[in-house]
Amino acid sequence: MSRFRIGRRAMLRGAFGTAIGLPMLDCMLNGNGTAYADGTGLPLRYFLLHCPTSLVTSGSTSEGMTPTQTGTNYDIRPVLQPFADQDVAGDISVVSGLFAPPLDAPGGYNVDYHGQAPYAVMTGTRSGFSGVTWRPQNYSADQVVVQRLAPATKFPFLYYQLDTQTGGTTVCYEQTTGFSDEPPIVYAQIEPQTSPSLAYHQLFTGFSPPSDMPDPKIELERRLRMSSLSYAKDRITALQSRLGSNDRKTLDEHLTRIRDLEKRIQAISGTVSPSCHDPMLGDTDPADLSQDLPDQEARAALFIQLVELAFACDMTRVITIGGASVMTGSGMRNQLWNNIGGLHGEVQHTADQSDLDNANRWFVDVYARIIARFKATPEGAGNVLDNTAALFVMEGGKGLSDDPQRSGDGGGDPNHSVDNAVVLLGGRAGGLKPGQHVSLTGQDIHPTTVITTAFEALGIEPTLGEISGVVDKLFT
Amino acid sequence: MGRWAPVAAAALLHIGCVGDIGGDPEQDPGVQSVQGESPTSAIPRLSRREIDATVLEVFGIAGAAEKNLPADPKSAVNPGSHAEEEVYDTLAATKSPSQVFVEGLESLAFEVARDFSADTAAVDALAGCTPTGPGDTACLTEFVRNAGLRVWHRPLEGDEVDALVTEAAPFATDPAAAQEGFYMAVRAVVASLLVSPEFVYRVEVGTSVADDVVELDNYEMLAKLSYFLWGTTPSNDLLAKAGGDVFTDSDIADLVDTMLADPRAEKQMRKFHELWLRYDALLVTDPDLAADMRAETDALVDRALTGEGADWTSLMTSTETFVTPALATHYGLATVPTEATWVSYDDDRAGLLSQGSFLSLSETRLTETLPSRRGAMIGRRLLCEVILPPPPNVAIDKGVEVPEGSCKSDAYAAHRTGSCKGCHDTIDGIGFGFERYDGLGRYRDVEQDNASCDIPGTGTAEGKDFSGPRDFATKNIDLITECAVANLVKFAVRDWSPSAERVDRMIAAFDGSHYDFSELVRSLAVDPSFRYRVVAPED
Repeated sequence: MSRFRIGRRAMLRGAFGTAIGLPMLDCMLNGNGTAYADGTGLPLRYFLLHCPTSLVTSGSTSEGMTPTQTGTNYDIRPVLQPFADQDVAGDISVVSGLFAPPLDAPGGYNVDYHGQAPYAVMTGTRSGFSGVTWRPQNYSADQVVVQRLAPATKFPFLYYQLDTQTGGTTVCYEQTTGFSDEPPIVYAQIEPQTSPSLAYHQLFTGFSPPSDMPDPKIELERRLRMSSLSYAKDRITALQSRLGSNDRKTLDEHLTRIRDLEKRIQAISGTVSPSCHDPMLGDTDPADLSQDLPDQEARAALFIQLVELAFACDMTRVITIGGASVMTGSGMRNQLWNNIGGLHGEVQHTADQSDLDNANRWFVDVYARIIARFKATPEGAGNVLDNTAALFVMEGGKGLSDDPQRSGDGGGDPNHSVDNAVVLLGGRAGGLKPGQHVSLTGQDIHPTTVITTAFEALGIEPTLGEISGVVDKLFT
Repeated sequence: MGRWAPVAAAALLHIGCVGDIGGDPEQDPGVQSVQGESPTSAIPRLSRREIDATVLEVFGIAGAAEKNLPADPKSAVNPGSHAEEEVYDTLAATKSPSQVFVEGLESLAFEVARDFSADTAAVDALAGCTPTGPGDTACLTEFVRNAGLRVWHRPLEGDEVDALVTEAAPFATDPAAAQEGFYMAVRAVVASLLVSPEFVYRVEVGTSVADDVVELDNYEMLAKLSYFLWGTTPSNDLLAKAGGDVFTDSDIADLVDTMLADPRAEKQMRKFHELWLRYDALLVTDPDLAADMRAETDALVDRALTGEGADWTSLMTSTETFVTPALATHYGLATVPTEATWVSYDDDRAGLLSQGSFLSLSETRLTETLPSRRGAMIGRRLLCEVILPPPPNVAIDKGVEVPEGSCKSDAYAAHRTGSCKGCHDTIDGIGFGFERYDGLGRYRDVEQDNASCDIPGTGTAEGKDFSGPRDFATKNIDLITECAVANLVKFAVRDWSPSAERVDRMIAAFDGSHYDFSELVRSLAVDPSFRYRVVAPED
């Protein structure tokens, strides 16, 4: 805890003050190190990793993820092996047997599996046709957390994607203006950041750790950035007067984004972990291993590092990582399964179940490594994981029935179903008791209920769209 | 330079009477030429590719946009048809100023400004002066004028120059900039120019000439031509021609010929073909094989566009192909050369539709084919057929399930009943005509999963039976050609659906040139419609 000294100038650098706040020192905390001295709780955080697969391929009804035993002594199945590898089995709960209906019903995805199941699960709201296209019908979970926690951090939220391919269906949604024959307000996909290098620069350009001596060069660069943005705002204003209403609307949106960016450049965050530092990453992303084969392992390692530091430096309290956009071409490529093909077309639909299990284990590994990093990041008397609810949500589950009331696309494909689904919830925020397997099979509990349970842990109302409730066992 | 050499303005004859006839603006052929077009944005945003090219052109820095900005969408919902359609990276409607884009643009501006200002010789060259010291505002003013002209493709107004100099000059004398001095001010200028809307949004405000129609001014027109023909900002030489009287049709024809004579035009038209047919990102997993396939396609495109006596239709009908020994062996061609060269086909292959680069693009299950998906792809891309997406309860990603021991053709035939029949008659009809070629372009005559099933390899497109790529291309070359023209117009005007009249004019010009692609491009650029824009009534 003695690594940083408090320097008042580190806090009070005027309009262009540094992007980082104070280190959290023992003297700021209560006797137990579990809250601030004035009784205010330590920052609570939300994290979600979305895995763009189901539990089973089109040709299988058995899988290697769902534990066979419940409770705290559940069995670690092959897909969950990273729990053991990272020593985080006691930090994560497995919730299985979840169900979202392929119907026009609360939290339903209205038949079309790939197109709409992520909308339903990530918003807790049945998908719907806007008059032009199928759209999510509500804010995604991360945006609801941002609205309800309203953290005064540099970034209200961060949204990354492991895979490089864009398009298709992604997992974070915001309000926007509809097309001319749509309702005036609709919900649309937020664009994820797919470049670790750019994500790094957005977090750490202009970063300097707290110290008594601000770096004048960094201060100058910050002023230069603010100056150019100010100039851009003036140019937008000048240009708008010559444009029609639709184009003015576009530039209004551009202007709003610039103002948000200005705030982030100026922002001083709250308290930070002693492990907060600039990782000094390079200017370029990891090179592709070959044509259209990104180095997913290297890319994931960088995103894991950035997620850890974004929380450690209190730059944000809400982070979502999408694995890949659903239904983009043949799907995500990865050295692990490149000999089979793409994650979607080949691994999920035509490969052996063991191939899909291997792919799912890769995503669980990324998640488990992030959990391990949160756990290793000190905060107060404990660590960041103690104040975090960290979810792992999958696109689908395991359709064991041809019943179109339970499986998408009219039933018949075990892969195209959000039945018998699994969600992982790690961390100890708000009294969560991780380290158990809770089976909810046969109860038709919606996967979003695990997300609303995370909401409860963060102290916000456990409701997302049409889905409300808490899995009480996750607190006991 | 081959087929891209300048040609006299006689090309205008293809499009009939043009020019200033005076009098009622509604009777102006330029205004008439855009009647029927839909309103378009006055601020079409550059694509990531165009931003990269512009930064490279002006500042000599490569890859800044690819690194910092999100990729442009490859498909989007057409608000007219309500269907998800493949789109060009130039389409204006897909470009919303997302957080990722705006923040990426600021990062791009920051990095380019930093790296360019560190190259003092390059700065001095662009400024046209060497600063006498940190406070040399005269030299800084010159830099603002010259850099602004290239980045915003128009001269900056006096107050715009003054504002930028006033904002940037103090950075030169900041104590923290003691080492950089003058060049820190340059850095501020470059960052401001690049992060401003005039850089990424190509402004087409124009002057109103009739109800809901504006005519672009010289600089707007020049930038529009340059981004269509070169994919980047106009050169100083071209910009110097924009300062005088309003361009006449003859002026524009001269400009177009000048631009077509530049190697950047060839490169741009190759890029159009990549984006149209989408062989820019092959899914072939073997990198050596993918490279050979790409070289094969590039060679054919080059030959069809710029070879001696080039006839664009040979892109589809050529009976020769450029292969390495490995690729010829992979395909199973009768002739396997000892080095990469052109060889003749001896079967029913012809043109690009026979190549692995194209046959692998059905997006899933690379060796085993999905005839419906391949048929839909060919129908949409080559024939411009409107194939609506399947109903939501159809899993398009798996194909029709073929029961154990059954033949694929029988399973698909059984599927073509009831509500599935309409679409599947169309798309399966095309797909099965290519079925003797697997997802990597290899010939086979029995099914991969069941060798007891022969593959007839026959299909139907547009009511005509065909067998294999050569037969398909020969029987449908008129439709394919018209579809290519319609795609080029969409690529050029950055809109969803240009008017049928404009496309028809271009088809006539292409026919008249005996399928010289450079003549098609020229006809589009000099068409009167290219300098007019329809505005929304409420604007």
